[in-house]
Amino acid sequence: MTPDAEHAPSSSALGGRLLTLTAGPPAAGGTFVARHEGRVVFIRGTTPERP
Amino acid sequence: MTARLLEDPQERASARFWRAEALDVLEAGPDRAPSVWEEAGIDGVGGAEWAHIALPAQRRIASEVMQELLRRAGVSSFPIEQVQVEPAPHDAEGLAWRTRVRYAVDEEGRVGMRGWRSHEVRPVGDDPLSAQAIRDLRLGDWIAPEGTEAIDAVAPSAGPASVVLIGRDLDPNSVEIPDSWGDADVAVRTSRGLVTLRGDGTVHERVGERLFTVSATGFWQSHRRAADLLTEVVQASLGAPAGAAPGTCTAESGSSPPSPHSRWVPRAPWSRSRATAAPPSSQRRTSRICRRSPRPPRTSRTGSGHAAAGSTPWCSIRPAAVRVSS
Repeated sequence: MTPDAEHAPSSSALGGRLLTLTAGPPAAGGTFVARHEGRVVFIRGTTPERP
Repeated sequence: MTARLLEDPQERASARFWRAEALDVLEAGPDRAPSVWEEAGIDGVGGAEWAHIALPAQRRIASEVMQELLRRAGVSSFPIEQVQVEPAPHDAEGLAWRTRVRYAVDEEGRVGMRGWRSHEVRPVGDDPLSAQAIRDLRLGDWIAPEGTEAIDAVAPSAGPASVVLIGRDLDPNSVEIPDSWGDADVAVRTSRGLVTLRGDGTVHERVGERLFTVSATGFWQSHRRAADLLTEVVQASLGAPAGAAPGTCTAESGSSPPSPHSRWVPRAPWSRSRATAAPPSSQRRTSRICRRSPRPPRTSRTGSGHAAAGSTPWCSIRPAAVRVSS
């Protein structure tokens, strides 16, 4: 758990579906690219895998 | 990590991509660091998406993004790996560099910023990316008068800071200037135009030896060192003698003639006195002056070697000569 995770309960109130992902390369706009069942997911608040 | 989707995956089943926000880190990457801006974390303000990434890693990643953009654009005229995002000189922390900040205001008059991909206004807390003169305004502790939709705060390189309250129907008489704004200039922009409460609606920017007067609501590079640094880098790349006035350029040194896609940058056709005496609308005026600059003379198209600084009223910038700095 990181400090970030402490905020999770309040934010999950928004009701979005949760996925477990691994962040890959950076995308424009501050997000990182992950894949879920082949689909691209842009994730905010993560860091890339070791290059 | 565990990430929460922004969109409903059922509704967006056919979308090419989804967006998600990381909630819980199961296995932290090597670049993760304590966030410099807690309020920019989960469900926090947008615009500081890398606040939790170590600064050297931010620059490495920014370089990757830049290189990838150039690669996709098909740029092949110079080695893309050489494009590196570097700190501005003396920028050790990567903080307090934003000299132009637009705050959002919610219906209760609370001042903050909008969330990532959200219209919700959220508190900015310490606001560590903003220049000190903007942080000193303590806008997050202030309640804006009814009708305020946004606030533009400016920390110029010369002269007092500026606060412009924006609201279509905002009544300028309803604004009480708090002590925390010190000697900042204050104006109100409504649907009817700009009403100045203190100052003349302009701010001053010093670049090298020149002083520019620009509109408090006009465009200026946000990073506190950007204008200075760009001037220095372009001068150095073009071989202008050190200490030459900003805007004084030489012809490019490459042997190939400037391509039709080169950008023509005028040698400042305005004198220093004219720059300092620019009227309040000088942001626009500066643009007009630039557009009025002469076309490059045909005889210079051979582009052989340097022209003497100041003798050529134009220059072209090759992208290879420009380094991007964060």
